[in-house]
Amino acid sequence: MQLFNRKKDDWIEAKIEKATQEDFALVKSSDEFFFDWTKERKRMVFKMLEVSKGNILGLISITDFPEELRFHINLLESSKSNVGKNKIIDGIAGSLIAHVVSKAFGKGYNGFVSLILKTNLIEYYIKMYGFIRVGNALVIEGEQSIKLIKKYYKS
Amino acid sequence: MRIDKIYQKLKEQYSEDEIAESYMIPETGTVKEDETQYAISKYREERLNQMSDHEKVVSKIISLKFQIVEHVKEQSFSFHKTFGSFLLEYIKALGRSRKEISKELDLHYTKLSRIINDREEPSIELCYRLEKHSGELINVLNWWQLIKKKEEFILS
Repeated sequence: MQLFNRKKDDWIEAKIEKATQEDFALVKSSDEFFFDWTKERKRMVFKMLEVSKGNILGLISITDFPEELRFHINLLESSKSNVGKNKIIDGIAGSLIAHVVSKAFGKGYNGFVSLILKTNLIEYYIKMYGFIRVGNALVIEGEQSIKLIKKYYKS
Repeated sequence: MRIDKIYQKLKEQYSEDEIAESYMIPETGTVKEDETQYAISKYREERLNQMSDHEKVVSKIISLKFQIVEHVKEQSFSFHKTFGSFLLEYIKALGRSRKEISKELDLHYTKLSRIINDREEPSIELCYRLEKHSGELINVLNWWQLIKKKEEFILS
C-alpha cells in the first residue's frame, strides 16, 4: 500500500504483517511508542512497516468474534514521528483500520468492525472513517467499510 | 504506563483531532464492557437479519476479492487456489448457473468450464470482462495477479 510522506512530498510503500514476538521486544525498547504492546501479545496484532527502511510505523490489536461475524479493535498506535502537526507520514491509522476492515470482508463479516473509544475521540471517527454509534461503541460495516477501504487502502 | 495516563500525556501535546488521527484509545473507565459488547452483538444480529439478498451477494463478492488479495500476498502456491477455483467461487457467490454467467461474459460454456477446471488458461480480456461483470468490486488486477501467480510457480 502507499502512504504519503509529507516531508518528501512523495508516496512511500508500506505493508502490513502480523507482529512477531521479536517485534514486541523491539517496540518496547524503542522511543517511538507510548503504549506497552507486550500486553497485547496474546491478541492478534498487526504492524505496519515502511518497506524501504523496515521500521514500524504503527500497530493495531484486534480480537476476532467469529460467532458474531466481527472484528473488534482493542488498540491502535502510530509511531511518535507520525503524530501531530509535524508528522512525516499521513494516514497510518486509517490504513491500519482499513486493513482490519478488509480482513472482515475476507472472512465473510461484511466488513463489520467494532471498537470502544475514548469519548472525546468519537466524533473524529464518525466524521473521518464513517463509524456509527451503537450504545457506547462504534461500528462500521458494508458500504461505509467499502468507502473506508477505497479512501485508505491504496495499492 | 496505564492507558489513561498515556491519554492524559498525549492531551498535553496534541489536540483531540490529532490524537484521533493517529490512535485508537479504548475507553476504560466509564464504559461497562460487558453491556457494550452485548449491545454490539445484538446490533450485529439485527443487521445480519436485515441484510437484503443483494447486500449478501455484494458482501460475498467483496469477501472473495479480499481472499484473492490475501492469497496473492502468500508466498506459497496451491493448485486448489487458482484463477479457475476463484472464478467458480465467484459464480457460487452470485448464486447463478455457469450457463448464465458464460452468456453474460460472452464466453462459450465449454471454455468457461475448462478455465474453471484449470484445463485452459484465462486471458487478460476475460479479466476485464470479469471486472465489469462484478461492478468493479473485483478488479482486473485482482484476476490478473492470480494468472501471474500460477505462471510464476510453473516457471520457477
